[in-house]
Amino acid sequence: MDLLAVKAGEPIQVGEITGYRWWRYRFPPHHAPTQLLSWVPDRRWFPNTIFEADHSPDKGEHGVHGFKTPAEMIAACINGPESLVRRAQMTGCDGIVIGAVSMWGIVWQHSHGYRAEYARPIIFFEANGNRTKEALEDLNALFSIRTSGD
Amino acid sequence: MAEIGEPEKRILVVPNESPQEMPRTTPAPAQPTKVPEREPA
Repeated sequence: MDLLAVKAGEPIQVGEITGYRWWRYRFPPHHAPTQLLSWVPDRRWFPNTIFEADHSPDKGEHGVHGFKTPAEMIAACINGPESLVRRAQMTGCDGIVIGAVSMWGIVWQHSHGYRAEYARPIIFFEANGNRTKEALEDLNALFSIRTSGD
Repeated sequence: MAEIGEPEKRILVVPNESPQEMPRTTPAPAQPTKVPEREPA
């Protein structure tokens, strides 16, 4: 993180911001671990790895996107999760997974969400598509996320 | 990703984990140079 990116008088917040978003997931062949992919760019998210945006959030609409609240995220799914699943499956994925993401670095706050420089998943709490229970369990385990009861 | 609305403000968010990876904002203070004592003649 580049502290030289701070502009005079700009707020600095200590502690990550939590956003809510969806990803695509797919089951690769040969029982390889379930894969997590961004919604638009065809980029994978890897366990124990910080996800860095392709370009600085200062440039256009770049950055890792997340909504401020689950309600705002759901409101953005105008046609419901089924339409997102269909779009995900058109790209060779098995479905979508919804969860929370920790965001930091240069962050642009929008009226309903954020665009961040860095991110990592906090929890996955709902999957839609093929083998949803398996996808949810796999992804939470792969990303070392403790769910209730742990 | 879907619409997150209009941009409002830019914030620099510093994570509160992994402090060892935090960038240094100021250079480390210079260590005093130890002048070797001269051997007595």
